[in-house]
Amino acid sequence: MQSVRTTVLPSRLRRILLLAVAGLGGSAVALGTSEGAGGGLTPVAVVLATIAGFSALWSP
Amino acid sequence: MVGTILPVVHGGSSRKHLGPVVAHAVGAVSGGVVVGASLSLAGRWTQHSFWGAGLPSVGLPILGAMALLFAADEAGLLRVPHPQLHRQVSQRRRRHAPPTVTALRYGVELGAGLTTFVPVTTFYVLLTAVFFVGDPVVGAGVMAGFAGARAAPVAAIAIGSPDMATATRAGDSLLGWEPLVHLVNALVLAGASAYLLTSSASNP
Repeated sequence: MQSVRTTVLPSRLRRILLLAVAGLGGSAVALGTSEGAGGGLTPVAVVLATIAGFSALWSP
Repeated sequence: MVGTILPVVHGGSSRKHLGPVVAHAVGAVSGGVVVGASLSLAGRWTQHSFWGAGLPSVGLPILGAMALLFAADEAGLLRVPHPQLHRQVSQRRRRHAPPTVTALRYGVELGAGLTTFVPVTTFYVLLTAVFFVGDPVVGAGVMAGFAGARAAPVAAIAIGSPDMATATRAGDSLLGWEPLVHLVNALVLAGASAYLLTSSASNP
């Protein structure tokens, strides 16, 4: 039986790809919403506040 | 942080620690509200004084570029300076003040976030976003959200643990997740960066 060889991306490359996918998602959301540029800042700030606050649990 | 806070907010028995937990949460939200309102007020004044209401043309590209830089930093792809103060509530104050007062002080300092360790660079982008929002009420609300998200897990661990040993074990078990936390922050920052830069480009 032929073994299936899976390609494991180098960790660094995988992280770059993940960032690119996240970036595409962010651009798609921006293009899909009809809010003006200024109005879109508050939702971004709320998301950042939530993730930054929760992540602070890992503060030394 | 959990290792330092839990002994303060956890009074040793399930009944005793409710006071410090509430004080910690109230202090955190208060600290966040003050910083958020002040920063947004400063942002409003700066925007009106120097570049009018030009948020799309000035604020969004700056914020987008900053988010991209810190996304790469959080993903471990490059290293960006992390300016921060490492001050904490002093041991002397901690020893001599009642637990509720100490928990309140901790809450204020951690909710404000400016005088303590900054574990993720998302915080810098957040402060800049609050500055550019330019509305003290919105800024206060956003930073109250930050403080609430910071205080809630500590409160949950303290309330949900019958004794200090259980609370400490729960806190210690989180440490292994740190690399994932940085990666999640990197992805959120990358998404936010693209969102802001695209918004800026499509709404000049």
